[in-house]
Amino acid sequence: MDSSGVARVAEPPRSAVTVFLPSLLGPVTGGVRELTVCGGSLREVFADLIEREPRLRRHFFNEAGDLRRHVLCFHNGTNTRWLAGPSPGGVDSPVERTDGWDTPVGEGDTILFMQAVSGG
Amino acid sequence: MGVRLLVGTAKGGFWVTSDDRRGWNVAGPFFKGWKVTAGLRLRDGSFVAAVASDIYGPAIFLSPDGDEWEQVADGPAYPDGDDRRLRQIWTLRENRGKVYAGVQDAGVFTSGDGGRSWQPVPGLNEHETRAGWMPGAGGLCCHAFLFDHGNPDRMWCGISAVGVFRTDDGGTSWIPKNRGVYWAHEDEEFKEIGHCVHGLAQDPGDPRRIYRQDHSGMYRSRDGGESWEKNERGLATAFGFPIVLDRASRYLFAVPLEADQYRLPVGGALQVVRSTDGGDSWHSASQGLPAEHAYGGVLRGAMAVDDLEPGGVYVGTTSGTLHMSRDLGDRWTNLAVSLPRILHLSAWVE
Repeated sequence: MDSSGVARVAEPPRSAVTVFLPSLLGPVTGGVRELTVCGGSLREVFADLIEREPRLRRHFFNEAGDLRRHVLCFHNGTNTRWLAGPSPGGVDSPVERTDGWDTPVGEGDTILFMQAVSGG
Repeated sequence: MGVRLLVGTAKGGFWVTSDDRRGWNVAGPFFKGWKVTAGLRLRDGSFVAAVASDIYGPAIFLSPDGDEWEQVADGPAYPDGDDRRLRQIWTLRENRGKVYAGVQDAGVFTSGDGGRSWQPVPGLNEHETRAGWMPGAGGLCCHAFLFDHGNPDRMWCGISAVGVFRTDDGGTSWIPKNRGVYWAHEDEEFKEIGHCVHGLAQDPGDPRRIYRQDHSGMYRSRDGGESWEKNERGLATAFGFPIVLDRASRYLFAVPLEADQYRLPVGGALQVVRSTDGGDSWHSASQGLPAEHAYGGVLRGAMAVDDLEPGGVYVGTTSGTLHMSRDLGDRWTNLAVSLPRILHLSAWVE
């Protein structure tokens, strides 16, 4: 409670995170390959990224809101798909958990988007 | 007058230009690494291009001059949570100030502001037969539009492997128009679909007269698609993908391929066939085209005409070769290029 009598709710910390984009998306962003976004979790970082560069939304995420199948995203070098843990339906479940997106991020963290090396 | 070609390939776009249709300049690639799947020049002279990536999906770009491109933020899209995926934009057309996009997974989107924002066409995208729509080998795609220039409420679209649909009420409702065409696959419930239309062309003087290169052969309709008849006289093989029409002469052009497991030029000779009598008969118009060891196919979007007189005809192959005629197919020249797989060709006079 502050002096005005209004209760203050502590906001979760928001950190500045550097996002690196693949060169193929240069035409989409006007050549921008690196930008700083803010958030307290991966989910918030993704949301801020899309707010700043809305043209990236459909290039990274499909209609179901999942990362596109062949888009890789690394948080400080860790594949974000690995953050999700086992799927609730078991390892063979087609349901991809996205709750790894609640992983906290810290000041100076990096997010690297790449395309999967799929096939020869 | 000069001609500008947009050559859309699997690895980028190229401009191929000429002042006299004899000497040609090649510039590009732009959208390097992206598939360039469709192109359109609007009435104001600006350009619309559709690109796609197997990794990052499709997008629409606009350009005032063909040099500087900007992706639109609000492109065609199925709603969040939809089972359908927007995988590729197969065709772009402009009619009466509205831009139309035919897409895969099959659907139609329109733009009333030159391609900056897009809205779905529910009457087609949510069609009652949709549960029976099956993809062809190239995917479930809407790839062709025709318009009735005397009737603003009537237009047609072609979907593989579903068939031709027509609207007579400005796009509110769509009716399959495939009577007389062999099935590619018969649906148990919806008997009016299951047709694999590959390409469409239309007589500019009589919009009811429509030509159809179908998986099952070459067809013609004289009544706006109410009925179709085979018109294959002179064709050694009636399988192929593109069909185009020169507006001034009304000559038709197609590229026969060996059906249908092979999809190769017959005998290794790239051939163009021409009809000078409204589809009554066809004959080869291939002088100058590679006559041996030519095994590149021609995709549905990879043939164009320029509407000069005499008309120029352009063919791009899956081997990346580009062939052009400035005399309605009487003689062909082969441009000395080796481009990536050619997906799309547009030709504009300038």
